[in-house]
Amino acid sequence: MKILNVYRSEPDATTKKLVEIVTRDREADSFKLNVDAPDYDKLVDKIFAADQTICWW
Amino acid sequence: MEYKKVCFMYRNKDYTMDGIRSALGLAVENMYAYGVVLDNEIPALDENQQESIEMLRDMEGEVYSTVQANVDKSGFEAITIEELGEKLREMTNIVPYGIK
Repeated sequence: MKILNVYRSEPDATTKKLVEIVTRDREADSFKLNVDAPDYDKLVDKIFAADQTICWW
Repeated sequence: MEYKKVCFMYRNKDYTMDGIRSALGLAVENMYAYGVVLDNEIPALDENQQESIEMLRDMEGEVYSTVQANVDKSGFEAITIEELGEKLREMTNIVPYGIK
């Protein structure tokens, strides 16, 4: 299973811990929305390439 | 038939009850729905809110909290961050609900 983690804000300790457990022994990718001008085309590609997308706070 | 499992996580108390109602809505749609109250102590639930959670439980859902005060006041099931992480691994959909 490939998991895409999308971050709306900088992940804190709780989010990092949850991501670490959820992605353990699994393929993982990430995308940050909390940057200037996110590349949304890239985000769409990543979503289609993933089995599960989690959009964190 | 395989049923979907959905876990909502609430980190902002302003969105908690709204999010619990969303979990209830998915349970009505034949999904296993769970909610987890993180970080915040929320006010004790009123009768209508308790009823919503009882309905969720009737449909094999549950509301958990990492905050002991919520467990004591509102009868949520206690859960640690590590236990939550393991639970999330079983979920079809994971919903960090509301804005932090």
